[in-house]
Amino acid sequence: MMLNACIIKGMRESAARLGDDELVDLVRGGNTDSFAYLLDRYRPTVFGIVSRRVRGADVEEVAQDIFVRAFTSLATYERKGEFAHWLSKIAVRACYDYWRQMYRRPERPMSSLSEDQAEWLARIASSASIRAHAHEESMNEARELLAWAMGKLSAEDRTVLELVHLEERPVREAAELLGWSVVNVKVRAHRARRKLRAVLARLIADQGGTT
Amino acid sequence: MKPPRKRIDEFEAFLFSAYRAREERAPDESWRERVMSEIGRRSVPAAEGNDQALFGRFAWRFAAAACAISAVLLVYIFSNGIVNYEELAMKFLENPIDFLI
Repeated sequence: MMLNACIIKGMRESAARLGDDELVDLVRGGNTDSFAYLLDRYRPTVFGIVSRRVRGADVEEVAQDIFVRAFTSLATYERKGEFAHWLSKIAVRACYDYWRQMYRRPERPMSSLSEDQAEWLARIASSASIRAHAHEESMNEARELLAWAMGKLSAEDRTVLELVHLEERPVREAAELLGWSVVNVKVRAHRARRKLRAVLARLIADQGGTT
Repeated sequence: MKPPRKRIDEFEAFLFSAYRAREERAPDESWRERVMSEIGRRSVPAAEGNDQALFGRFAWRFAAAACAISAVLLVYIFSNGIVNYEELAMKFLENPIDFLI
């Protein structure tokens, strides 16, 4: 009994030491359980990507979808030693698909600001220094407001804006993650930011913060 | 009235910094189990789809070239018509006099 436990523990430890490509080969060879090591290894990466892009309540579901997509697409994985990058692509595109589906829904939420958001915005807009509000509670309000403003953008604009301006990834990397051309990403990112700024300007103006 | 550009810059920078300061969510153990049980229900992706994926990659790679060649051929056929030179040559060789008359 004890010996069995030691053997299993030893096998687990050696499997955990295997490289990504070796684990992929094991999964392709029929050892589905080996996928758990990839799951554990890249869970933080995927949640890092999804947490910022998707609504809190949907994060786990989207992350699950990403790993299932990765598993079913393992046959197409060919770039040796770049599993993290390959998985990130799947994650970014899954988030993009998520927003495309959300926008297609007839009942699009958040058509106007909530009372709390409007009140917070009025405080910010009338304040002399916006930076003075940089405490945790205010940061949550800011995140909600940004999410509301980004809801006014298309799924494409939203995704490219997040990659290029919010996460400050190089344009080339964003293009590769999205499967778009570099020029397309540059143009889209510029337009998306202009649209977002227009939304923000309207918000500030509506709250009387024009001074 | 539109707010000054500096004000929008400041507001935008504040929202962006709030976005970047967001904490990442960490899933619990039940999430891991759910994913692995979902994966267990799927078939192993090894052999299946490999040929399809390979075909898909190559088919799409040559799709544009194939379309361009088809278009060129169509233009050529419409401008010159279809003439079966081989058949004409055979007829000539079989009976040159009849063919010429």
